Amino acid sequence: MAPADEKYLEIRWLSQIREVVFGVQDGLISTVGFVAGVHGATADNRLVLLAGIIQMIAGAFSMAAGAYLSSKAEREVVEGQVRGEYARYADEPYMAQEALLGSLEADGLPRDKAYRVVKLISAERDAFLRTFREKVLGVGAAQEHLPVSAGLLMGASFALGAILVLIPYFVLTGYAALGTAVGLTAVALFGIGVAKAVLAGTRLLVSGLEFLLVATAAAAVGYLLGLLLPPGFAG
Amino acid sequence: MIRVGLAAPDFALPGVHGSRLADFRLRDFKGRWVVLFFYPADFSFVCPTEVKGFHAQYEDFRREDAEVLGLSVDPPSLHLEWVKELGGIAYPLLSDEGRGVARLYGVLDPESDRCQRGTYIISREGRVEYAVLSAYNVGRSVSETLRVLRALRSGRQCPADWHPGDPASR
Repeated sequence: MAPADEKYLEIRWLSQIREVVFGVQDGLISTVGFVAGVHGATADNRLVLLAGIIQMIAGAFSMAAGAYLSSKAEREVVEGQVRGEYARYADEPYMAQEALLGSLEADGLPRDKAYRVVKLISAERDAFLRTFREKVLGVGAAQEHLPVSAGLLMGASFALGAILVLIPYFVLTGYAALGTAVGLTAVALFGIGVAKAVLAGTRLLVSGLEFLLVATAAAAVGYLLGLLLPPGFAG
Repeated sequence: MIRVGLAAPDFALPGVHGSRLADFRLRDFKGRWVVLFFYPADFSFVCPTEVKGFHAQYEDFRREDAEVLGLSVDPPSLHLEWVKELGGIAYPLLSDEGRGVARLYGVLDPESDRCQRGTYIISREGRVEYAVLSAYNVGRSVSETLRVLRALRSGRQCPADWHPGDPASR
């Protein structure tokens, strides 16, 4: 396989990082919040663990289903639009050629050179349609939506995040377990940020702190809203 | 603003005729009919159908004692390349890089800063006898332009879709 093809597959695979980040982050935050809530309501360690495991399984399936359906919806809507444009191309080839010409010109290619490129590509219908799709419609093949893969990755990532929170409850009890779970969550959030930075080639510390702070802020807002509720609201 | 029946505003522009660069002045064509057509751009996919269309029927226009002038905002160097790409064009292509003529004839599209598809037929005396402006995506009919030119030259009152040989009233 040519290096460019390998890179294409690598980008296609890595573009699914959205599901991994989303899943792990949600698995960590929602589970630690849930566990803290149950911990407050009962001192029974086994009950906390059982509820946490059920929450993890239900959450993983829900997130997997959500990712599958949303990815499929996005793919179907985008492909519908692309099909419409292909049909328009069949009816009005000049317009599609003009659109591709404009796109190449906007990229800085001189008009006469852009014209010759479009004319050349137009001789091969498939080559033209693929270029038109990517350049004019902005629908890249490497970012193609893969609903099943998105669902599986999202569910597994959620479960991974949740299990990290639950691990302390297998070996510790009480506040020691809760404190360790919160600590593990913080470390894991920072770790996802660092991993993302490695893949993206950005600054490790900044990315780690970004993940930690954004996710913690989201959790803190929920906690603070809970504190603001009037006493006795829950009956 | 151009008004049919009034004098066509004069202009002088550089252009390309065959492989030759030259300056063109509208008033130099006085005494002959002029078909002046504005088109959006060289190296595009709708415009060549028109540019080549006028080329294909150029001899018919000549027989009607008319000169055809194509005009866009592209520079003469690009016209030269474009003419080569199209395999030669029999009539001059003029360059209105300053957009002054396009503005004067009311065909400059402010959004694209290019000419819209405007066609003017100018009489021997230098009067605008026919003016038509079409949307970007719609190429013009060269045959229709030729038909109108023939009708104008007939000096008769011509009904719809009149062609030489059809009945007309004086």
